[in-house]
Amino acid sequence: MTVASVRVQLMDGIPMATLTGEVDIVNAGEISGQLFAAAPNTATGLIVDLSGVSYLDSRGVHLLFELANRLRMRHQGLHLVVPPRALIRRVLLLTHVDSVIPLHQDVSGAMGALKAEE
Amino acid sequence: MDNGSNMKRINLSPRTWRLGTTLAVSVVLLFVFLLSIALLTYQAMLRERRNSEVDSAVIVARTMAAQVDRLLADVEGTTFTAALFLGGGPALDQSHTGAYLKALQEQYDILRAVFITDLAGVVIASAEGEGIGRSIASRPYIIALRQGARTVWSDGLVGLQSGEVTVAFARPVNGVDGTTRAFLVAAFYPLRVTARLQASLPRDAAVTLFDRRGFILATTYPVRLTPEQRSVPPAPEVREALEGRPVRTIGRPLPFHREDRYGAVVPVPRAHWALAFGRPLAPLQARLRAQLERQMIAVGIAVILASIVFLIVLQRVVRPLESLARTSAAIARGERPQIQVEPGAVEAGELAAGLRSMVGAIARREDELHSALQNEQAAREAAERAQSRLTFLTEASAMLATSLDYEETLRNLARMAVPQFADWATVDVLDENGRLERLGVAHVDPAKVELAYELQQRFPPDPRTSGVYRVIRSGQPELYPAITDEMLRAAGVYDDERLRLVWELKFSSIMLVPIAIRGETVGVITFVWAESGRTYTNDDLHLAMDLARRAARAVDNARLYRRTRNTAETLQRSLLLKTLPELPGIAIAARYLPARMETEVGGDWYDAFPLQDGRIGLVMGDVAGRGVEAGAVMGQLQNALRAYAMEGHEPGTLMERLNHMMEAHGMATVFYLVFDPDHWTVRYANAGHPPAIVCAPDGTVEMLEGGASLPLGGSFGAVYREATRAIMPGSTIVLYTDGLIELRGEPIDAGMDRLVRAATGHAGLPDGLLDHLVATMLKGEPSADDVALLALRAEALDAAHLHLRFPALPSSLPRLRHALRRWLVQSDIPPNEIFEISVAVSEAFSNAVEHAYAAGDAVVEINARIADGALLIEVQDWGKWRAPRGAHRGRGLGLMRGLMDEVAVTPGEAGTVVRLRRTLRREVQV
Repeated sequence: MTVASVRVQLMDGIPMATLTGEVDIVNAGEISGQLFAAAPNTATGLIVDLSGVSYLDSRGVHLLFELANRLRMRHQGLHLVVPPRALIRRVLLLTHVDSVIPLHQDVSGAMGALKAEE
Repeated sequence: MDNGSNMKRINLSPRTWRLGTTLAVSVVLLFVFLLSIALLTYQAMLRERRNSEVDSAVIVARTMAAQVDRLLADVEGTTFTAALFLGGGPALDQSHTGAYLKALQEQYDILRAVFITDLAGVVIASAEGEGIGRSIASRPYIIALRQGARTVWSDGLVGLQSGEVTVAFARPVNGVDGTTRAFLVAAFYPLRVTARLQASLPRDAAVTLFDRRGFILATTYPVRLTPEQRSVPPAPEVREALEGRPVRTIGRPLPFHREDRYGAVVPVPRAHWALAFGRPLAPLQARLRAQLERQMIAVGIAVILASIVFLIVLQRVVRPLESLARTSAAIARGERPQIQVEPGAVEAGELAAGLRSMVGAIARREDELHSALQNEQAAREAAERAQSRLTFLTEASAMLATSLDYEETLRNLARMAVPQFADWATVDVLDENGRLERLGVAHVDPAKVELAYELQQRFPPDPRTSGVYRVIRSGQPELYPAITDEMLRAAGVYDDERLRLVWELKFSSIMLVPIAIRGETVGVITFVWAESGRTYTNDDLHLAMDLARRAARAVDNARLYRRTRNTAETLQRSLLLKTLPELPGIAIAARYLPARMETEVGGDWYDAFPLQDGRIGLVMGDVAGRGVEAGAVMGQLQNALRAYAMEGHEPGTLMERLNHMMEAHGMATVFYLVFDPDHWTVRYANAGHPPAIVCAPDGTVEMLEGGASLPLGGSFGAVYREATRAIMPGSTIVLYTDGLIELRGEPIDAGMDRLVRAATGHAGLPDGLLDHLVATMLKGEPSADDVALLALRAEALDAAHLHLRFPALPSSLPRLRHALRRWLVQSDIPPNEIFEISVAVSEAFSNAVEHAYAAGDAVVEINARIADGALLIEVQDWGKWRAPRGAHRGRGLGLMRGLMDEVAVTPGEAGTVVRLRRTLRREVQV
């Protein structure tokens, strides 16, 4: 059983989802729905904090691409928080997630980038 | 009354003759006896008569022999006188002596001739004057005289002319001087002698004369004899008589005899002759036979008279006696025969009358006895019936009150009713869908039960007419003391086939009583008297109704209980019957044993689940109480515990949260333990539960006694401690509920000591260990409380080689990652490398799952090796390789290549092998 949880909070009106646990084929669909729901129509974008993710494979990467596409349709941006020493960083880089979705070392960086987009 | 001895006296044994037989045999014997006497008498008389006749024959023969002798003596005397006269006379010639001789001859009429010869044997004178000069010197008697004989009797001579037999007597004629001058000869016919004798004899008698040679001189037997016949050698009797002894004769001693004769042969001594006298035997026998016939007739008359007497006795005494004897035997057998007045002796009639009045008396006494017995029996039966009704009601009530399985109970009720309260008992109950269900049919004879089922199957009861349906609708009991054809037809038994079946069941009395719950009829109990032919009364109906009321309460309670229990059971089953996690190197087993007597489900539960960091959580809990409420609390606790555990709460804080949650839901004890296979530690918290035990591979057993706190729900805000302990690879952790150790009221410490003793030395696989513990602790008997056990045993993984085998399903992925991770951790691989290897292997596995299979039971095998500072992993499937489709699957292959040093995909006919290789950054101690 793969366990992950999504916790959503608003920071200065900007929604931020904190994803913890493992993401794989078993729970990717559910996580995807929860993350997309975390961003209301009115929001300019969504920050997803991946600091607490202990496992993420191509299914998770696919989830992130998909989420970015769906948000883009609503003209909303997706920013990921991935610490430099995070385990999953290498996976994200190998799959060129960073070429489509901006990666930030911490939450404040992501906040700043999102506010700059407004 | 001794019947046996009576029978003996009346029944003639086969060896004893019946009177009729005896009489018949007596008559036959009498007949034979008389006949024998007659025949014997005849024989004796025949012999006697014959003897006396023969005796008289001898006398007659002697008399006649004497007459012959006298004749001969006369001849001798006469010739003597003549010879004297002649000797002293003149010349002996014809002229001088002829007249004298003639006078001599005429004096004796039997003499045929008298003549004189000279000394030379020449005839010189004769009475008739004939034959003068003829010489007879050659005749034997002349020869004898010339030789000096004084007298001579000649033998018989046959006359040449006449053929007559002649006999001569001769003597010399002596002169005065004594010299012989001539010979005097007198001849005569013996036939004349016999003829003269014949005159004095009976007509059938015959006399025969023999000369000294046995020559037949003469016979009065009417036959002409030739000279040859006369001179046949004589019979022995004749020879004996010639020798001087008289002889009796019977038979045919003479050659010319043509029939049997009796008589005698006697000697005639003077001439050495013999005389035979005989009479025919036949007339004598005929006379005797006539006498015998008269005797036989007398015998016959006697036998006929005896037979008549026999018949009269038979008819008038024996027959009536036999008939009466049979009647007596019948009376002795207990029958009451009609006694016919048979015509017979007055005494038999009197005996019959006596017997008749005896039968009447016996019958009256028997009737009196019988009716007394019947009254007594009826009274006893009534008492017994009342008693058995009471017993039945008591037993049935007790049974109805104790069991909650109402179908079985009602079946038992039907069975208990037979045979003391019914020959048949059936119970029909409406099920939840309103259909009538026959719960039980009971009958003493199982074959009849079959028949009843056949009847019901072939002719299901018609709801419009069936009595059971009618009682269901009306809710009123029905009582039919006696069953008639009309009733059966009215009840829907209209065709003959069915009527036949019903008659085969021999219903005689029927009672139907409703089972009503809160005014609604839910079933019917039918009681039937059949073979026993008994009848139901109003008393019986009241009892049956009472019984039905009790049955109704039982059904009501049982249904209510069953609904509740079903819920609780479903709940518990959903909580207990789950698949335990399958992990490499880890074996888990569980047991759940329901309590002995409890009908409600208990509150024990267990759980085992992998945590996301590769650790494994084990839970053993016991909610206070039983049934649905306990089950509900159990479910809440279990779900909450899992959720908290997944969120990463450690045992202590987890317990605190559960305690909060339990606040209003009663009490529960829980033992929660997390096993970390990477570091070989356990971390646990114990909320008032018996401590788990750890069985080390060396056979020693330890209790996990730390981390103990109050039960959940016991105290709001209680602090829950936790404890950590290292365990050796190969150890088995056992969690259990108190049902395992709380036996026979012993202190809980003693129970735990027993458990430790039982587990010591048994560090086997969990399944075997649990079976051993259950067998040892419970001794094969169901425990008083529910018992749950959960065991986990972890082995160190092979450091050089890891082999995994998973179903080709997405859900296998987390288990694959955990197993791989545990193995890599054991080999001191750093976390970031473990993560990257896990991603690569997961991608390979996902590929295999996604493209390879349609069937859910296919498997994927993973083999991992560490050799020469490098990790080699093969992922083998048995599907057909397809090029990755979609962006993310392409990304999967890219990830594999990016994360591993070498990636080789080898598609084949049988399946696909993905080989991954990665050089490890640091030296690994294998």
